[in-house]
Amino acid sequence: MRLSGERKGQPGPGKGLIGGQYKPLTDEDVKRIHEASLAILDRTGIQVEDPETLRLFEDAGAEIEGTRVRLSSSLVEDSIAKAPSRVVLAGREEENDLILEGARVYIGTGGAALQVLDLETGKIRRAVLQDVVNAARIVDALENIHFYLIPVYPTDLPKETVEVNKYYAALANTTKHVQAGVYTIQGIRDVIKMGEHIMGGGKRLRERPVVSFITSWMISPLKFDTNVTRMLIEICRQRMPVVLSAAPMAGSTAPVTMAGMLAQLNAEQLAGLTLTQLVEPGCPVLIGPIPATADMRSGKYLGGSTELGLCNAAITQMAHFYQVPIYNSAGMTDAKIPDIQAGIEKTQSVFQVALAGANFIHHAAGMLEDMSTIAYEQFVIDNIMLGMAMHAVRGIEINDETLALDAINRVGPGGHYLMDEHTLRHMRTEHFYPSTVFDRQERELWEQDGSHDTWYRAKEIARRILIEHKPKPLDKASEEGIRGSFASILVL
Amino acid sequence: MSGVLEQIAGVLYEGDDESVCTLVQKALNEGIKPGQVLRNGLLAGMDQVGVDFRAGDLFVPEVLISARAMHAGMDILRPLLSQSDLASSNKIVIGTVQGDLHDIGKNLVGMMLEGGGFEVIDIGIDLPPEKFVDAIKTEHPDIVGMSAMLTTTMQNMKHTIDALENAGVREEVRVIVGGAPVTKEYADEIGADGYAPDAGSAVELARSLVKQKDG
Repeated sequence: MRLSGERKGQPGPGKGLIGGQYKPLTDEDVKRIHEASLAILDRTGIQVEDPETLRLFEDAGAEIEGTRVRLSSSLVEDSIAKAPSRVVLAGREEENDLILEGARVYIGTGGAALQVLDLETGKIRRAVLQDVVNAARIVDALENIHFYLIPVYPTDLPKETVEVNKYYAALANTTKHVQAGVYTIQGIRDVIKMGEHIMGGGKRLRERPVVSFITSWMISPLKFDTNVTRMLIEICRQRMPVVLSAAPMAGSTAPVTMAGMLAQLNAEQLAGLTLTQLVEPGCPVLIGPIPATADMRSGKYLGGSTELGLCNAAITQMAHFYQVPIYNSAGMTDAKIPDIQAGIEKTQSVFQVALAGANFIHHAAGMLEDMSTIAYEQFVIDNIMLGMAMHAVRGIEINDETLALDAINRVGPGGHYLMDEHTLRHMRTEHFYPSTVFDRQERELWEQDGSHDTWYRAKEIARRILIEHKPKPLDKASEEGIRGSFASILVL
Repeated sequence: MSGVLEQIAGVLYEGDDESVCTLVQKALNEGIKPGQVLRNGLLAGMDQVGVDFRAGDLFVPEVLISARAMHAGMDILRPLLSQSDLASSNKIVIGTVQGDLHDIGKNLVGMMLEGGGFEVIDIGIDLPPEKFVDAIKTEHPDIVGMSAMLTTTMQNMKHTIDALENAGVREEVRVIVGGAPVTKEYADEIGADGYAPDAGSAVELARSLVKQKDG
């Protein structure tokens, strides 16, 4: 008997489900971190070198001393109040829209990895544009990956054409929301124009933005990156969704204690949030705190630490406290191949952060070796783990129908439920079925199939998706509009 | 093929026993031979169920409900079928061995076998070896299936096979075993003719054994 999760009428647990069941911080802890962050911004402040950003802070009444900017509690709290508590990130197909608010949970890919663990050779190679295409197609086919944050940086293109090409390659190969990091002001404008071609104009794009941007504007601790901050300001002015991404490591770029890291990281986020609301009040922004740890034995960034899961869950509580949507991380690993370490590290952080109710959990599929390497088969494996986590977020529905008293009475002592109407009504939706990447057969049948492990089966499924899955193409008008605007787009 | 036979296969797949009965009667009224209704209607539908079940598209309860519909259709057809038609329907006796009161696994296998076109005689639970001997003598089945849920009661499968030998009926039948603690290795050790790890595979096993026997 081979039950797979790929059958008709066998939906995944769903997306946008309400998390928040897991709270590593008490309400009192949340308040203390909030107060600590305000104290950091008031006492230590942030470093800003860009004259325009300094002027924005100065005009708002911040205390400026050279490049040091100190923010008062009232300025910060006013800005938090102006930031929207709901941000929509759209897919080309409306069913893939993400409504980021409250404790709604969406999970997807992340990163800007430079390497790929090659599906056929099993060797590491440099990431290229074709990987952006292939990963998009795989993600498009996998039901528990809710958005496509372009997980690789294509190393085969000149810097000037990377943005349009990677966004185009992504948008043409999945109908899920596309997000990525950007490197130039021109690139941002190009990508927005591309989005306008697809959605049919600037107004429609703002209503249902099919693209969004990540700005790593903060050099932790507490220093704005001038170049990236300018891009952040440009995106805010354009009223396109943008992420304030910051990833300090406890022990090197943040205090070694988790509490100290959370206080600093939260302060950094509040400083960034304040800037966005000074630029353009009400502009759609996601805070993007990604707390992690440094390995104090080597100084290396750790993707798979337990602290990463714990602290990303904790910082999610801060976002809920402020009522602003949050982008953060789970599902990373320090393992180099899809092995047992990868499985355990990924699962522990995804369950913690999903159950905490984070809105946009990235890095959660396909990634190996912290943020350095993707593997096609890893997307297939992680898709199952993400489904399991969403199933946990969904929880247990308790009502008259699910308590099944009528069915229990119909079947009676010593009977069975296999053919009861109640069983038939619920059996396809009540339980989670992993696809055939996980083996649930009796040993004899597993042996007949070749005694393969998860890694082998995942590779087979990834190959099959690349051959069989045909994502819905861009419509002809969008395609022609984009091609007409951007001569540098490569045809893949 | 006549349209009504395709319809029978379709409603059987859906597990709609009332429509199966109505359409079987309609096919007979149209003058289609009972054997043809069986092969190209009921069994054709059940074959599709088997294919989709093995592919993972159908769940166990859906197979059982199709099997129940098959049964309803057979109740109309059986009195009308010729000897040669009936001969193609193989008989299997199933039961849970002595000391064991568990029956859900055995019942599931029984229902799946019925769905697979077998005539199934379920002789019950907690059966001393002589009950299996008696059943072989009265029913003359092609296959005897034994079930056990517990490691302790599993040993009684061997005692039952020994009893069949002592009574001189062991050669008349193929013996298959199954249940949570049972393995292929154990089945070989006690001299059973076949073992299947789950209900779906049990049908395939039974088919291959009767094919061997007929061949």
